[in-house]
Amino acid sequence: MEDARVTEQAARSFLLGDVDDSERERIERLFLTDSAIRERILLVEDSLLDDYLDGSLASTEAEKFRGRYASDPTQLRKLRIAQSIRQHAIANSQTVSAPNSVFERLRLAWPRIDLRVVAPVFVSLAILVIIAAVWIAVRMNRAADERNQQAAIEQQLAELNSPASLKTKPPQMISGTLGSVSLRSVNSASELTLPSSSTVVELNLLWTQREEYLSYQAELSRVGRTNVFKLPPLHLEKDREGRLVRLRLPADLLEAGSYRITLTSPKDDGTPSATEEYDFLIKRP
Amino acid sequence: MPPISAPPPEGFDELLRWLNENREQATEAYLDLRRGLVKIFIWNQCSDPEGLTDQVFDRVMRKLPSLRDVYEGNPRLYFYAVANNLIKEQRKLAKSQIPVDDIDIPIENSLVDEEPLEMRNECLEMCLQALDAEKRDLILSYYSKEKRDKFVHRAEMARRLGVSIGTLRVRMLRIRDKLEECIEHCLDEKMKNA
Repeated sequence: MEDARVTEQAARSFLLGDVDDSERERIERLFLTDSAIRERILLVEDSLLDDYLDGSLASTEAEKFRGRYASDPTQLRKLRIAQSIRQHAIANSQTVSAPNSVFERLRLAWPRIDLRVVAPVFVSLAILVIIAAVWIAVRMNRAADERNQQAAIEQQLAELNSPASLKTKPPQMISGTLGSVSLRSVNSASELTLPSSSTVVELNLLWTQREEYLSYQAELSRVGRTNVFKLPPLHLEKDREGRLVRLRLPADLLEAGSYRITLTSPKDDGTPSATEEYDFLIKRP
Repeated sequence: MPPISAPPPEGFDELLRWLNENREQATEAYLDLRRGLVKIFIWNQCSDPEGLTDQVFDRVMRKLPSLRDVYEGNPRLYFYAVANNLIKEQRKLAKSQIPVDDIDIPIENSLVDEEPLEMRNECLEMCLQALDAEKRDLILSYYSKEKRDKFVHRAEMARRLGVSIGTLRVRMLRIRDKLEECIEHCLDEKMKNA
């Protein structure tokens, strides 16, 4: 669970120099006195460094990062070392792999067994055991894999929808405005055609309810699939088109097909108080 | 500004005792605090973070005889208060000096690569070999992908190792810290002998 005293977003703003002096001092005090917060800040710093080195930071954030981490020879040297480690790892990726799975270890061990002296029954039993073990492992691994992939995508969505990122305009961004399902007939979902060059899709979700809330929780799902991706808390904005909630999605997450976004505004006790749904259809040329 | 006197010779032992009565734990706490203060000076874009960290310890050592019996609370907060004063002094000093933007420095000189690339690669190879094989394979695998691919790859690594992504990130951060420390030390040695 995220520590509310220094959230990941607060740590990011602090590291990029986007906080005032009192907030800086508060975070620095916690950094020196609380090991959990210290670890969190160092992880966020590592993630910023990672994004900077592979060019995924928004241009304004990259500029701030350079201002703080490439401003003197010692820092520049640290950056060069970090870059060297990554370049070396990428160059060696063909020959380096993570530790062998149980299945791979069994496969490697197989040639050591002299099949001529092993009775056929023993072989059959061994094969059955391996098949059963692999079947169980595959089932367990698939579930864990899906959980981890979901977490990775939600982390990416959080970064893309952070207040700092939303202020920037990434290149190759496609934008669209969606009305809620309650305002349209069932068969008139908005269509978005995404060229292969697009990197980010920005959606403006029109909010027509009279009430306004402090924050809005959005969930993205593909129609017919069970996966639901949660976005970080979003906020209402005012535009020529009216009141809207703006969010961004990575284009490569959106395959051709129908999608639904559910927008809820939680009460203080966490229960939803108002909900709107937005449908859209992605087309790929 | 009043003249700065050197801290008393027994000051460092006193300082360690203030951090922890147990000498071994006090040394750990000192090193940990030192790393933290260096980071804070870096984040505040102070030049010479190591030197400023030394100044913090010197200032606290000088104050310690009168401070130790009256100060209540976490000593780290006192160190931070001293460091924060230094940060503010540095900012004032920077404001009173000519802005770097106004000095005509050729761009190529400000981006000079201190150590040759081959030297850096040699140190990297040497320090990778100094890691145990499992850590070496893990860190090379962790950083082997970029951009969107890295998220999926790291999630897959976490699954294989049976840990959460967060745990994997912490583990990698620690290995990389050690590796970078080794490379920096190696480069310092090589530059000294060059």
